[in-house]
Parts: sequence; structure tokens; C-alpha cells
Amino acid sequence: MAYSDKVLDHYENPRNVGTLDKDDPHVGTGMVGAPACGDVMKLQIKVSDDGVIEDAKFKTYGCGSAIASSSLVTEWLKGKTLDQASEIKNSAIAEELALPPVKIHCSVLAEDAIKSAIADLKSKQGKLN
Amino acid sequence: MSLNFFTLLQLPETFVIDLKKLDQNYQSIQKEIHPDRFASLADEEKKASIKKTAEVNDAYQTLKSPIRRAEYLLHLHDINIHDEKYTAVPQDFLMQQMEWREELETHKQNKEALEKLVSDIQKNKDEIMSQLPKFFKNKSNLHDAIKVTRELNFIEKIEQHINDALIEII
Repeated sequence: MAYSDKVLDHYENPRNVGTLDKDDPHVGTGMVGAPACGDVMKLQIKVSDDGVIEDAKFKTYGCGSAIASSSLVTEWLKGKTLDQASEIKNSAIAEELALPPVKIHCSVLAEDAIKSAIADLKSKQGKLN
Repeated sequence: MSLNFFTLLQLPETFVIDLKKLDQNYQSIQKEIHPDRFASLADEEKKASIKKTAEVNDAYQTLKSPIRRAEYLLHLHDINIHDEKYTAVPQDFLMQQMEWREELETHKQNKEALEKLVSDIQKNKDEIMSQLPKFFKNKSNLHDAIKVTRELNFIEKIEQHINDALIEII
């Protein structure tokens, strides 16, 4: 199956690969996996005191589309508020990367990773307050 | 509608099966329906025999592997564990997967380290696998069976990746 140029670009030059300190109260960590293909995705966001995402990092073990989807969302997340971030839909990711139908689930994984990271952050901050 | 794999191989529809009996039944059915036996018969009958042989092979391969057997039992309960919409896997389990993947990445060239990783994963897999019989015994535990079968799919995947890496070294 042929990957689109955008997928190849993210796959060959992934943006924001790495890890943030998961114990930092400003960091939310999202972990998701797709049992169908065994892909594992970790997405982390670092949020400023006024609720804006300052940094985003990812680590994905999976196919090119899963790596590209997570790489792309780290770019999109920076500068967004949590509310804006939670509005990112898998369909937008799939459209941007021109994912074929069999790879749509990779974009679903990335959307779920965002939600999971936000939920982690909120539960952490809830505990602090 | 194709026949239930358990019925096809004359076994009770349970997770724990008698593997020896599976082999025996498979072999005797294969002998009975083997296309060579129908060489002198009409094309239609030959075709039916080939189709049946393929079905029996499929059933045998599915029931022989505990993971495939678990998936098949769930499938009989109308549960597709490969549903791609499902991404909520327990966090600590995923964390462990991540660690294993990282280890594989770090030690890609190191045969000893990879073999140690294989044995660690095997232990973990055995432990998970040993829970399946009790989860399949009782219908109210099916959600646990789903969870564990999904986890085994992740483990199978990383095992494949490690094997690929080991082949590269040799």
C-alpha cells in the first residue's frame, strides 16, 4: 500500500519524538493501544498555568500511519487550549494525511491519545486542588 | 453458513480442549475427505472435497493456537476483538508494552539481551494465558476473556518484532 507524501514526511522526519516528565503536575500522559495491530502510542502534553499547551511529545510503536498521526497531532496541539485540543477529530487527521480507509484507525488512536492525555492531566490537577 | 469449528473437529465448544484429540480428529477427517480420494469422481464432488479440506484446515489451525481459539470463542459470542474503535487498554499494561518496545529498540543488535526479553515476555504471557480457562468457564467473565485476549494480541505482536530482530542478527 502506498503512503501519501505527508505520511512519509512525518514517518521519515517525525516531529516531537520524546518524553516529558510524567510526574510533572503540568504534564498529562496519554497511553493508547490498538489490539487489532498491536500498535502502542504515548502522547504527552505540557500545559502552562493559563491552560495553554506549551509542549507536546510522542512515542509510537506502530505502522507509518500511526507514527504520522501522532507526529502531526503534536504539531497541532502546541499553542492550543485544552478545550481546543479536545476538539481535534480523527477525521481531520485522516484528511490531512490522506489516510486510506484501512488506516483510519491510526487517526482514531491519535484522537484517543489526546483525550487520554487531557483526562490524565485533569485528574492530576483535580487531585492537587 | 460454514460449520462451527468445534463441531467440525468433533470437540466440545470450550476453551480447554484435548489437543491430542484435536490432532487425532483432524487427521482422521483429513483422510476421509482428502481430494485424492475423489480423483475418479465428478468435478462437483471434487470441488466440495477441496472446499471441505480447506475448512477443516482452517478450523484446525484456529483451534490449535490458544489465542486464535480464544478469539474464535469470542467470535461465537458475536464479539470481534479486532474492532478498531476500541483503544482503551489498561494503562499499566500499555506501559509495560512501551517498556518492552523500548528495550527491543535499544538492544536490537544484542542477541543475549533479546533472548532475555523473549523469556521475560514468555513468562508474562504464560501468566496471562493461565487465566483464560477460568474466564471462559463462566459467561459472566467474558469481559475478562476479552481483555486478556486483546492483551495477548499485543504480546504476540512484540514477539514477532523480536523474532524479526533475532533473524537479522543471525
